[in-house]
Amino acid sequence: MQDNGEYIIEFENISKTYSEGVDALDGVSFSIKKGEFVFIVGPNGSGKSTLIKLLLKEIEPTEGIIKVSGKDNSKIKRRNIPKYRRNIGVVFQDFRLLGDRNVFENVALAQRVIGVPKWKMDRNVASVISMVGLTEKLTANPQELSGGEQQRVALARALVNRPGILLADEPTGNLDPKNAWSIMELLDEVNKLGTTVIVVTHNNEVVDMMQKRVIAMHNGKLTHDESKGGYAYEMY
Amino acid sequence: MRCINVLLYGLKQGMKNIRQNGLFTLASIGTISACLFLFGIFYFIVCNFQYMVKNAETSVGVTVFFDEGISEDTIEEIGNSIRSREEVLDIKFVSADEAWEKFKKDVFADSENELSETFGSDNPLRDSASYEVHLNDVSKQSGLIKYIKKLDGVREVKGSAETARGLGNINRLVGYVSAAIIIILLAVAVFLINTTVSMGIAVRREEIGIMKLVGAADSFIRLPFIIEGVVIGLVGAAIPLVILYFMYSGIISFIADKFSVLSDILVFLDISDVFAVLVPVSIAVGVGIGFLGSVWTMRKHLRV
Repeated sequence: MQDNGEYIIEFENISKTYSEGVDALDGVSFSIKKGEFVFIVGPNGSGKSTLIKLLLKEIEPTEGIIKVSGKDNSKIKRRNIPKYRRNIGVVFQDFRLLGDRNVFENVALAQRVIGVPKWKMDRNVASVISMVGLTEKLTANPQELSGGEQQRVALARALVNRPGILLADEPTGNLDPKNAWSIMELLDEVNKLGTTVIVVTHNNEVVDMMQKRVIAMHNGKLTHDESKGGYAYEMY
Repeated sequence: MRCINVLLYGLKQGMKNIRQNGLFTLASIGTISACLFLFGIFYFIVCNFQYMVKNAETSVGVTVFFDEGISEDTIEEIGNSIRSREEVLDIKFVSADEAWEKFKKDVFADSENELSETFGSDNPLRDSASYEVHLNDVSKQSGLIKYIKKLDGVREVKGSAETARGLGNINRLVGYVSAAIIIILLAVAVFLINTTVSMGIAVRREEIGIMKLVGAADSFIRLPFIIEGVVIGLVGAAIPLVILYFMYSGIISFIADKFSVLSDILVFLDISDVFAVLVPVSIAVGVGIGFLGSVWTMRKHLRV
C-alpha cells in the first residue's frame, strides 16, 4: 500500500484524447516521490509532451486523476492556475529566453510576475545566477551566450522562485555533449538540494550515465518504470 | 508595495508596446482624436443652440392688444385672467407711450429727430397698449393664445413660437446627425485599438507564454495592454481638447463678426461652461474606448 503523503506527483489512470481524435495517453499511472530525480524517455509521439502539458495544467486529461502535492489538479480553479504553476519550474530545449533583455532581466521576470520586492529580487536573482555559474554574464544578452549558457539562464529562471518541482523538457537537445553533461550535473545538484526533478529526454548517454529512475513511454502507454535504469530501446 | 511594483512594470511594458507599435498607435490616437474633435464641434453646436433656444424661449412672448376705447378696468381684468394661467411666467403692461418710445428706439435710432419733427407729440401707436406675456414653457403658447383670444376686449394676440420651434428643430437635427457620426467613429476607434493591441499581443506572444509558465496572474499579463489602450484613449482625448480650446474663441468672434445682424439670437456660452462638460466627457469616452477596446481584444486573442 502506498503512503500518498510522500508522493509529490501522482498520475492515476490518465488518458488524453485530443479533439482531433488523437489518443496521446492511454491509462498512464505512476507516482513520483518528493525529492526524486526521474527521466521520462520515449520516441516522438509517445506522449511525453502531453504529460508535461498535463502537469503544467495547460490541458486537462480526458480520464483519470492527477495529483500534485496530494491535491487533485482538476479541483484547481482557473484563476488559481498561475499560483499552481509557481511551484513548477520549467526548462525547454529551445531555452525560451527574451532576446531584448539581459541575463539578469530574463531571470528576474519570474520574480517580477509574482511581485517580489526589488531588493529581494536582486538578491535572489544574483544568488541563482551565481549557482548556475553565470555571474560574469549578468548584463549579457542571450544572443551573446553559448547554447549551454543560455540553458543555464533558463534553468536559473526556472529555479529562482524555488519551485518544489523542476520540469526539464529535452534540456540537452540543443547542446553538445560537454554542455549537456554540465547541465545534467546542475540538475543533479538542484535535486540534491531537495527539488524534485523530472527530465524528459532523448539523450540516451545522459540517461545511462545518471543511473536514475527511468519511466519509458510508447504510443501513449507507460511501458517501463525502472528505479535505476538506462535508456534501453527494448524498454518500449 | 507589491501592487506598486506590478503597476510600474505594467506601465513600463505598456509604454514599450506603444513604442513598438508606433504606426498603429498613431492611427488609433488619430481616430480617437478625430472622433472626439467632431464630438467637441457637435457639442459646441448643440449646447450653444440649446442655449440660444433657451434664450429665445424666455424672450419669446405673447403680445395682447386691446379693442379701441377699452376701459382700464377691462384691461386689468384681462391681465388678471392671463396671470391666473399656470404656464404664464410673467406679464407686463406696455402703455401706448412706452410702445411708441420703444419703436422709435428700435427702428429709428439714428433719425429720431426727424421722427419728432414729423409726428411731434402725436403718438401713432395710441391704440397699441398691450400686455407682454412670457411663458415658462413655450410649447404651451398656442393653447394660451386660444384662451386669450376668447377674452372680452382682446383685439389681437401675437405669438412668436415659430422662431423657437425652428431653432429647436435644427437643434434636434444637429443632435441626431452628430450622434450618428460619433457612433460610427467610435466603432472605427474600437476596431483600430483592437488591431493595435492585437499587434502588441503578437509581438509579445513569446514573452506572454513565458510569463504564463512562470506563474504570472492573468491581471499581470493583461495590465500592460490595458495601460496601452487607456494611454491611447487619454492622448486621443487630450489632443482635440487642446485644439478645441484654442478654436472656440476664434469661432465665436468669427461668427459674431460675420452675422452681426443676428447678434440678438447668437448668444454663445462661455468657454468655461462648455469645457466643464466637454473635458470630463471626452476623457471618459477616450479612456473608455481605450479600456474597452483592449479588454475586448484580450478576450479574443489572449486566453491566459
